[in-house]
Amino acid sequence: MDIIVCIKQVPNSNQVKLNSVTNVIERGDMKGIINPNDLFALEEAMKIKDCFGGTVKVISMGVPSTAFLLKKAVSLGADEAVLLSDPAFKGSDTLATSYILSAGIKKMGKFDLIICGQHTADGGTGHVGPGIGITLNIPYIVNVNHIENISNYTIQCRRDNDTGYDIIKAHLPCVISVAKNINQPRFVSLNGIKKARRTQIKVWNSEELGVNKNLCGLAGSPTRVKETYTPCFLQTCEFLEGSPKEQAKEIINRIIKLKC
Amino acid sequence: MAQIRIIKDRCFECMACIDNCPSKSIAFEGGKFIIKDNCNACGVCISSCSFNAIVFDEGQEIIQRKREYRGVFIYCEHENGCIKDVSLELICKGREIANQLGEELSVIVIGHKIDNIAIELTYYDVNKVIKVDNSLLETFNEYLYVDVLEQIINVFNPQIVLIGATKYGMALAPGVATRLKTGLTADCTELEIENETGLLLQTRPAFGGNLLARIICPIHRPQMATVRPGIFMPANKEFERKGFIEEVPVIINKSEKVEIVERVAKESICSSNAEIIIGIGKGIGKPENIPMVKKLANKLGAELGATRAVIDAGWMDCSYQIGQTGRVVSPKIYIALGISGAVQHTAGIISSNTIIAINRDKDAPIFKIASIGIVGDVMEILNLLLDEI
Ligand SMILES: Cc1cc2nc3c(=O)[nH]c(=O)nc-3n(C[C@H](O)[C@H](O)[C@H](O)COP(=O)(O)OP(=O)(O)OC[C@H]3O[C@@H](n4cnc5c(N)ncnc54)[C@H](O)[C@@H]3O)c2cc1C
Ligand SMILES: Nc1ncnc2c1ncn2[C@@H]1O[C@H](COP(=O)(O)O)[C@@H](O)[C@H]1O
Repeated sequence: MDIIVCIKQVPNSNQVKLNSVTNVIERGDMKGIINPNDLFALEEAMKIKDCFGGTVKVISMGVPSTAFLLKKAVSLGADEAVLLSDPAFKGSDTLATSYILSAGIKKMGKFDLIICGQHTADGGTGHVGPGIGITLNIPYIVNVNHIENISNYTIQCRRDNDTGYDIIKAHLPCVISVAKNINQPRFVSLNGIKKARRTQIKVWNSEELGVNKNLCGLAGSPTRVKETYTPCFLQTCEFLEGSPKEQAKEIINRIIKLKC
Repeated sequence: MAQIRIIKDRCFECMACIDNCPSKSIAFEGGKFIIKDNCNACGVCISSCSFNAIVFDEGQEIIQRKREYRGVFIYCEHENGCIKDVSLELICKGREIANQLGEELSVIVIGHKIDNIAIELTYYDVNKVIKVDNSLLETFNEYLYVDVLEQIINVFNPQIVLIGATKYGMALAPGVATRLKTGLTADCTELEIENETGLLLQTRPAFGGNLLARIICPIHRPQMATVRPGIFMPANKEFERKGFIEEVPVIINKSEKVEIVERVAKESICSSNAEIIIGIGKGIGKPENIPMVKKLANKLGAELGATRAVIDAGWMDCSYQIGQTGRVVSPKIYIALGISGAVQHTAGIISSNTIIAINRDKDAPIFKIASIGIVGDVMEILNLLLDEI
């Protein structure tokens, strides 16, 4: 079973900085971490490899410093890592990102399964998994919270819907996006760290990928961030007065009024 | 590809566009601006210009093509013969947008044995109900549904498509948008039409609600968005039928590639549809106090939620967690008991109609977003509340 895991670098905290002109998130000087959900994706891939053998490769599109995080993915057990990095990729929305990642995945060679996180902690759309599936013309399943069964030809998963869950079976190759907490990610091992030191992270730019630059970056992104703003809460809190008993009474009155 | 045009009368020759252009495609030579061939119309210069002097020169071809896309389309989600609330909310909002644009509102309904749903939809203020009924579409299957929705959109060429940001909606929408090679904004909490351009302004929270981003899709069509449930008012049924039903022929290939083996309904612990949700924070003191809160919840017909601090302490199961890394809820009333109001938590409750907070710290951040507050000991108030009801 050959598995590719998509990993994205996200900012370490929710304190974000935006370029005031392009409204694009400034990733340059931020110390990033692996998108927490992608650690579940990686772990799920490792678990499958532990059972069936094969390879786990990781791929990321991002700034050059992402290579550091890919090393971390190797120390967690990935066999190979590829970074897609090019100034032309800057400002990609989810459509352009899916296109670029799909090109990278194709270049990586044969695969049976692609695993993404359900969504990223920063942009958080959950679009990229389906985007890759459609671009590569293979099935996708999102929100997977349990892999029930996997064979050389099919995968059977459980995924939540709004009122319960579905058991869904798809032909391989396919893309799945895994829900958070699908597993307990393992820790970095000493051997892993040694392996990461030896492993060369491959870096491919737009030429090496053979992608159409008009479909990458801002140019290839149908959506534009017009503006960003911090939500202002004009609401001023009305503090209830009186003794605790009176306050409690008043709350009940309000609840009754608000309910209808 | 769109080109960039500089409107001379508005330009102050400040050169901000040249400084900001990532591909160095703008030059100023001999008193004139020159846009070089390597311009990829990324639009950075447009936002960098303080004088609104730069516009997309879309060219006749794109303007013509954009004109061919008309109408606002809603994807109707339904379950067990019932229309989902979010779809009714979208009909209401969609009607407003369609009126503003002077265009029609249509609803798409896909499934099997959905005659009743299609008829019910005609009782809302919609112009058209587009129905695709096929036994292969009985249960939601993104592999087939993406295909069907893509075909419908290609028949009608709407300029806006709105889908509820439910689990299925979020599985369906990105597939369709990628097929159509158009933009999609996820999980919007606000939609409006920009007066000057007629573009759909799509607002969504990012970074756990710390930031709101307003997103547009200037050139590609349709403009697509998934919309968070519980934000807009639902549409009201009208007394007479307004819309008519149109069945569209689509090609549905039975595919073995994806198969729904089983659909299991489980009792939801805490559905986001609750009118009242009581949020439990670390401030309730100890897990032994939770049964008291449950008692209050029972009396009010409310459901429970909790902060991560409570989950991490092992007081409650993680399925109760509300917030950035938990569930997002939008009840009529959210009662925050001993919750400090960290942004990661408030990201999940911000679209509640009313937030009532009880906290002994008058400066707790929760009071910044609450509309009704009590400064006091939560267990004392809780006891009194139980006496009062
Ligand atoms: C990446 C990340 C993701 C996170 N995601 C989430 C998330 O999804 N959801 C979430 O909830 N949190 C999340 N958190 C955690 C969040 O930052 C807060 O730590 C958490 O919400 C705090 O919970 P709390 O308000 O219950 O506890 P505390 O912060 O400990 O607040 C307790 C409050 O109770 C008040 N209090 C104490 N005793 C009493 C009393 N007797 N009577 C009245 N008031 C009293 C105190 O004044 C205080 O304001 C996340 C954190 C990170 C870093
Ligand atoms: N730039 C990227 N590089 C690699 N993987 C990505 C990238 N962006 C998104 N992904 C993958 O797609 C998932 C969903 O991301 P998103 O659609 O941005 O919420 C992530 O959890 C990753 O697995």
